[in-house]
Amino acid sequence: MTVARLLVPAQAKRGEFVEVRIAIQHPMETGFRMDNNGRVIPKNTISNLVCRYNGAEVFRAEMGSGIAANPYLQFYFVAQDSGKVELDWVDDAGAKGSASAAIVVT
Amino acid sequence: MKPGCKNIARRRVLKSLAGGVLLPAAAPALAQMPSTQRLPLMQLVPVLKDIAAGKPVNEGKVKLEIPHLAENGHLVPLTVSVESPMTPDNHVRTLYLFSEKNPRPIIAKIGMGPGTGRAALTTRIRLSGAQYVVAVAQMSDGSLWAAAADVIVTETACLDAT
Amino acid sequence: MRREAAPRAFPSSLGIGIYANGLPALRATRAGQGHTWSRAEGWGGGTFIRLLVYSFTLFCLAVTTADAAQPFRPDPLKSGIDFVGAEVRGLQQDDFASPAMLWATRGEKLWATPAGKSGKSCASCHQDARVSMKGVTAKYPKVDPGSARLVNVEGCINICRTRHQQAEPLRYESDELLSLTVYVGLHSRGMPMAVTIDPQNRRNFERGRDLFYTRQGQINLACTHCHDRNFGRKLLNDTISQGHGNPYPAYRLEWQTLGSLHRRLRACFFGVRAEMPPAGSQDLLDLELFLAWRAQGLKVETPGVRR
Repeated sequence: MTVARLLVPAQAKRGEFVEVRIAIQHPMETGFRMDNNGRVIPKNTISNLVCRYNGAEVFRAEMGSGIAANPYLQFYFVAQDSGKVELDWVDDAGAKGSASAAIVVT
Repeated sequence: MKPGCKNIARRRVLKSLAGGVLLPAAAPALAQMPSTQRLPLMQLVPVLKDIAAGKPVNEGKVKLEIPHLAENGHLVPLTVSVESPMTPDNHVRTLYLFSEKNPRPIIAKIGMGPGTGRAALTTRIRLSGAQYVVAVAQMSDGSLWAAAADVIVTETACLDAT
Repeated sequence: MRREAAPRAFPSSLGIGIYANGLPALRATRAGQGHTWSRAEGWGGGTFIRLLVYSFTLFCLAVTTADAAQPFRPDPLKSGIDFVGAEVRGLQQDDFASPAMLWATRGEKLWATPAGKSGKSCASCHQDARVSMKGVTAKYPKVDPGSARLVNVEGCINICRTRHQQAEPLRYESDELLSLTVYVGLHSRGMPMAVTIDPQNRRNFERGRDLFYTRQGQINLACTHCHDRNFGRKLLNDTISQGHGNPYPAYRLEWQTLGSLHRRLRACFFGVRAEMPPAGSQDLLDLELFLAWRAQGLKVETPGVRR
């Protein structure tokens, strides 16, 4: 079960910078740790995260082992029309996750 | 140890002292020197050479906010912002975060565009030991702007094997 | 902030604590007699006075054994959040930035998810956790009337699972159990810790107290040495806290994940190079009860963030 928390204001004025906050539950395994039997735990980080606003890409993050466990990102986009903010991500193991929120632009 | 920067800084101070400037006059000169200036960025982060591809890396425009003393290397909060109008002809295309001593120097590569509106990012990074963190912004015209910050990373006093 | 002297009310109980745990019986007598000898010499060694002092010492020992003198409590009580830096404090104070809240989100989902043969979820019996779980964590650990054993919130969740949901108990320290514990604890946040010591749990309380004052491990320290006598002082770059359990389950940067109070206590046992009791064991439950009593009045911070 992937748990993610997404915070986008429900309303915004046209032309305003809208703040997006996203937190994802993920160990962001570095690939440098070993388990109790001395075997290397394979690297598994959220390698790619894309934020689309009404279908157009506004933000993209390629993350590696340098990002802390349970990654947290805070960024902006420009409000234009009412619609949907969608975030999709994929990790090294191929597991996909997504979160979305609706926004009303006045 | 970062032989380059520390020695250069010390030499500058020694030179100014040798030039007849008294100690009280030398102190403000030290204070005015921001940590980002005169840093051998290419030496700190050799990967930067591939990204710069011969172009100069300018210092400025990028602001990096990170605690100078991090309580734990597993989670260090950080905010980067870039001065840019973020218009279709003049915006930040890519924002890189580098670390000097992590086993993988690239922490993150952030794609931005005019739709982003404000070139700023807050996230949390891992740092293996005290080191420099470098943020580099690649603009739509291809120019590179950078900022660096020195972070001291401490660890918990008690060993934890749970 | 500095505490030089040993807790006033404690020397005799400290001796008993060690005695009760099978360590040198000599310590108990020495603790009782140390000052009486020196004073007796000062008075010229009169037999009558000596006898008087002996009987008084014995009386004191008897009283402490029967009534368990009130152990030392740090004053003023300070939560661990007062001993960490601005960054960690910022993480705990901002509910969205706090990584621990991811577990609360998951707990909220699990609360409404049916489990076991009964097909019931937590919500089927307890309905809205915001109402039914208000203040619950602040009163735990408690003696479960069914089994007459001391249980903490984790134990109580597992009792519900086996008794009412007919489901397998969740593994201690598993993500599911942590998530539910955090979700239950969230509804006590900001309320004062309010455990009660009564005849039913007094034995557990005393065992927990004795464990708190017993030297352990190769480094040979008891909990009291750091968390009663030296809180606020530095251990390398760490500031020693008073050792309260009020933020747990908490997100520790060191773990890079959320963990239970028992995991934190095990880490302390490891820190002094002692054998770590298993999570959920009687020793740790008793210690949890003593810690909850010791932190009475301190606000619950579940889910907290610590370095």
